[in-house]
Amino acid sequence: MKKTLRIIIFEDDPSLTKLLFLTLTKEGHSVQTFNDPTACPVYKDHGKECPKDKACADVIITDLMMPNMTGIDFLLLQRERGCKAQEHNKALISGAALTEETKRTINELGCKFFKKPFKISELIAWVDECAKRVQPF
Amino acid sequence: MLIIENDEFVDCNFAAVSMLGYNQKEELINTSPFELSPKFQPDGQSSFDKANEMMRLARENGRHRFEWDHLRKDGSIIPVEVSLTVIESVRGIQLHTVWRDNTEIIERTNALANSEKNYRELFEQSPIGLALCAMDGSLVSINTAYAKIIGYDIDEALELTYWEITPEKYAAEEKSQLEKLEKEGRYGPYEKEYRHKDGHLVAVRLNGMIVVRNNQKYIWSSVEDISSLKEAEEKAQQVLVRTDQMKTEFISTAAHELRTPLSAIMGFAEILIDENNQWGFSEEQKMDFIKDIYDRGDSLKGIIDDLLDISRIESGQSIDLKLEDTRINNVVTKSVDLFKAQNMKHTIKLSVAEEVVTESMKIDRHRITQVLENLLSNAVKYSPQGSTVSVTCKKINHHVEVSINDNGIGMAEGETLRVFDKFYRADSSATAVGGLGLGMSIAKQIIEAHSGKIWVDSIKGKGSTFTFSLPVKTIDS
Repeated sequence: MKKTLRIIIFEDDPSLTKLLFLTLTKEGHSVQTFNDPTACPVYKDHGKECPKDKACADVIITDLMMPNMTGIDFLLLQRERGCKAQEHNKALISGAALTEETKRTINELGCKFFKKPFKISELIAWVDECAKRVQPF
Repeated sequence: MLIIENDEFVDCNFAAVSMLGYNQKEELINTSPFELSPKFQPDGQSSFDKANEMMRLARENGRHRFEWDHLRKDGSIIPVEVSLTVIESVRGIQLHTVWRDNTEIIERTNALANSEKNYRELFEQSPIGLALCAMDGSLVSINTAYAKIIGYDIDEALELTYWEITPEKYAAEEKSQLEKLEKEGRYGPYEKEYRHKDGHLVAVRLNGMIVVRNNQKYIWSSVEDISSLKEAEEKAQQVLVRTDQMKTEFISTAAHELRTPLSAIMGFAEILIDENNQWGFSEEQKMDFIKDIYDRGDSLKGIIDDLLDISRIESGQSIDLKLEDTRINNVVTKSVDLFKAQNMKHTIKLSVAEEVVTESMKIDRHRITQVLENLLSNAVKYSPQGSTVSVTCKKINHHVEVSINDNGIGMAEGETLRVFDKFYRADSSATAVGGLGLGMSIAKQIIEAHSGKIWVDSIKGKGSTFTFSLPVKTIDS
């Protein structure tokens, strides 16, 4: 019996969002999608810590190139403002050529990186790995 | 040779007769010197007065030598050097007169003076700065161009030394050029800067050589002001760096733009080829995925078409147009309607002026649709959800103008100038709004291929209005 995870996806491409939403939902997870990272609570109360007591999600998947902010800057901001979600359970997806600096930052963040186009089965396998790191509610 | 007695020639030899172009000496006898002369001498004195004065001086001093213009029989002037010597004879005081033809000397002197004048003019008017410098660096002679380069009057500049207008940082290079000059007699070409009178530095290119005057060594230099050239080189370098940066960003963006629809295509295909249907999608959902694959394939085709268009433009080819009689109103209305159906999050308003409704034009409807899609897509991309995008279509003189106005992020002046550059994107790649940055450049090419114009009016933070204008004409016209 698979654990139901709370997954949040930040992706501005509608069809990729649809694909991820449907497959991960079929996997039994509770999935929320946003096309802009500013939907995250770390953007509220500008400059202060994330107002949430607990993690909003067990898994966070974000695109690299999005309106208003890059996925990297978004993950760095989450760290800076005390996001409660596990960094190992965050994934960055991108089709862009990565600079050395971006590669270093991804490594430093400890998040997973999926290069577009990626296999859905690989993403699901990684989500399953994440489930092992999630404590029961 | 002639004899003067009582202020008249009383005898002469044939050389004198011939010198003035006469045939017989009788023609000269009993004439006064001033009678064989022009009315005035080169110094402005009348020949009559001056001849009397010269003869008086000879009589007083025993001899007198001077230059004189005589008149030939044919009216031409012959410059001569006259030598008068007093002789006392049985007939009284006579002046023994010797003429030496000065024509050649005068001509040579004049030629020399002309040559000097010509060279002086060349020196003065040369667009290249020229300077004669003593070995200690003091400026001895400079032309106007040189004075202009360093910003001083010529007189002021001649008070300066070369070292006063040379920035300290060139000391080592100057030393090396001076060594070259000593060794080879020449220096340069050598690029450096002069300090202008107002303090700014002027880029110059120098060439020079050693010249010797009165056993004294000098440095003769030609100096070109190359500041404009340097500025142009710097600008070209900046453009090169910017183009390079844009190309690098473009490659990264292109990869992203191609890989994102590909991710969706491959992801949906992965579901469809799963024989076990592990996720349990319904047939209806699967059919929907096939439609998604088709749509995303279509997006990829659009990107590839843009790449091919820009590649054609880059190689100097123009956009191919298939011109046909078309009602512009239909093209605009259809594009807007289609766009409305796909973009429910914005309000898109269309207003077509009555006189345009029936206007038929020779245009490539697919290409104009492509331009409209690009402009509408940008208006939506760069403006907040829920805002209004207004499309207006009107006729102005012999043109139809189509404007797309949004209340989006707008652009600063510098951005509006670059918006039609290829690879330019209103938002940098870091926080990308989708797109390759080719659409506006291609739109411009398409409109210009129709002999039309495209421009943008924009206020940062308020929104933009893109307008294109197409001439109302037929293929024949």
